[in-house]
Amino acid sequence: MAYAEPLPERRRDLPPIDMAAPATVETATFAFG
Amino acid sequence: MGYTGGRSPAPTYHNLGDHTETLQVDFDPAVLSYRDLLEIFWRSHDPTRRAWSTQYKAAVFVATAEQERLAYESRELLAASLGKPVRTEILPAERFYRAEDYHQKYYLRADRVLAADFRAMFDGDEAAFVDSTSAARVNGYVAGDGTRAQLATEIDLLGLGEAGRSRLVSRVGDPAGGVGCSIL
Repeated sequence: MAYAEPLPERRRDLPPIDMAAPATVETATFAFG
Repeated sequence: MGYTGGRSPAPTYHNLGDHTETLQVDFDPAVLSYRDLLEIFWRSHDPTRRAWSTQYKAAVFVATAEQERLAYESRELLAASLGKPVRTEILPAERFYRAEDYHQKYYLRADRVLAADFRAMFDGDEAAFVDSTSAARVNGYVAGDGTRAQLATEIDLLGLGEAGRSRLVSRVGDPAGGVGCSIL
């Protein structure tokens, strides 16, 4: 009987601060010289 | 981090064409206003210096009419307070090309413990890592910005494992922690 391939290590949940990020954001772009 | 402002297709660090090195940041205007960001921007470079080159010029790339209005308004106020011309340009935002991975979250990436923690967190998904609010925050702390008190209020939200957590606490408030702009 063949063994199943081990599942890849479970990816950790995203950081709570990322989960709480708002759906709508603004974008700003700067060049500092 | 990335490249914008030019016409050359598919710019890279070693083949930038007529683009400029830029920082692009997504922000929640309910928490931080564009006016606040402009204030940080004006304080983070010398706006009176003549540009070295297109690659390294100083500019605000405005994405909306409101951003344009605020950029001009703040530049005029700054010029008046400095009493000399401000050379930083205000230009329309155009296509932004992301820089290569090794330019992103530079300070975080240079810390082996924290970098390993984030690799585990994002499982090699570089785009998600670059977009991560947590990665941006940690990068800022490692760069030498932020206080221990500030970190204490949000460390539980950053998704760090034990090793990363201890490492970050040890880096914050450390005078050798780094220099630079927190939002890079």
